Amino acid sequence: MRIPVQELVEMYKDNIYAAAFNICKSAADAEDVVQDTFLQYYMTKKEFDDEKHIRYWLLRVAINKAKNIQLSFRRKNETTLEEYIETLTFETPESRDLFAEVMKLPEKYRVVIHLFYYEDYSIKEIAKILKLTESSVKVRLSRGRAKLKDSLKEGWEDEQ
Amino acid sequence: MSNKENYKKAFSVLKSSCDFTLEEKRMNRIKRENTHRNLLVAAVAMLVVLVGSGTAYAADLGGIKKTVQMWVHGNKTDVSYEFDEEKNNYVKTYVNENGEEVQEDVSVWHGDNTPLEEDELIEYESDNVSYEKTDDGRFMIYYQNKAVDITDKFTDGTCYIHVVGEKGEKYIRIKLTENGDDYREMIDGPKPFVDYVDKKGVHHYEDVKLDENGNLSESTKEAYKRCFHKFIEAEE
Repeated sequence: MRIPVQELVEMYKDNIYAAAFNICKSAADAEDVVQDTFLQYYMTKKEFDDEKHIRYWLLRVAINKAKNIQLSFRRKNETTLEEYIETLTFETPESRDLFAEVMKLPEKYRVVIHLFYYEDYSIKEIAKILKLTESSVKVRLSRGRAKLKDSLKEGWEDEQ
Repeated sequence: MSNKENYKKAFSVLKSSCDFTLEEKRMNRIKRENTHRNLLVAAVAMLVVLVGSGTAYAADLGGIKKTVQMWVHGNKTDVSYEFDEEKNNYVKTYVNENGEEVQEDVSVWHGDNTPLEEDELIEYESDNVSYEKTDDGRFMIYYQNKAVDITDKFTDGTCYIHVVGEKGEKYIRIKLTENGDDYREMIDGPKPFVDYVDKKGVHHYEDVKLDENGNLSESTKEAYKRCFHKFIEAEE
């Protein structure tokens, strides 16, 4: 099946943006990833099983693109992460703290944390998206949680 | 509230400002600025959301996987490239220093959004500079056979470094973010700056500036007079 790209943009652009921002830590780069990802969907001839499959494909492509941005040399005149966070309107100070502490995590923990807590993916699904073993995902999730617990204290519950 | 609920609440503030419409629209691709590369990496794509129209590009590689010896993190290793028609880009696969298989997209296209030819891809990859911030906070630059730790080579948040690879060289300037935890600006290419040491032994680095006629500015000319061509050399 195929869903028209216009519909997909409305459905998933914020999810793609959030995933890309999680990796790039840059609003401008994340926006580029959003545009590139939907453009790539438009250009591919691939047929998908269902909407869930499309969403999975979009996120996987976006994460790869965001990682490639991190690996390559690009020049951008833009705001810093701290300046960008100041422009965001959080519901509570605790939300801001959580956001800031997550963004301080090493990327390999951060992206697993994001896919688990924001996109509701399972360990198995995250492993497929990131091309990791399930045990690697579990370790990264565990270490990311531990770091958040250490920095947020009561702001983060203990989890297994 | 659970961690999941708190996380979603915090990250729901992230909203894309991308504005796609049903009309024919021109999208700007990511512009990758590198003066060394002849391959055009800034592409303009037309997004046409109309039934029955639009153009798709695909490389005529027949799904062949090519394996070459390529520099990865300063070490020569077997790297396989295979064109992914779904993603319209090459995917490179290699085994990293930890023995883990790694797959990465090579997201470079011609200006008309057509993918690179094989030889162009190899040329691009062979001259590519990459950087990494490791888990233990070290900043690394990788260029051909060189893996350079530049963590301690920053002055006032900027590092200027000259890296000589097996078959090329790069002059690289990197600026850190204000809190020093990430890169914010990277420029690599031919020498983009003038550097000199003053009478007190202090290194000075100035961008090469041109006047409105495209000639060297007076300040740059003055800097050249003082230029001792001393800059940090990447260590072996």
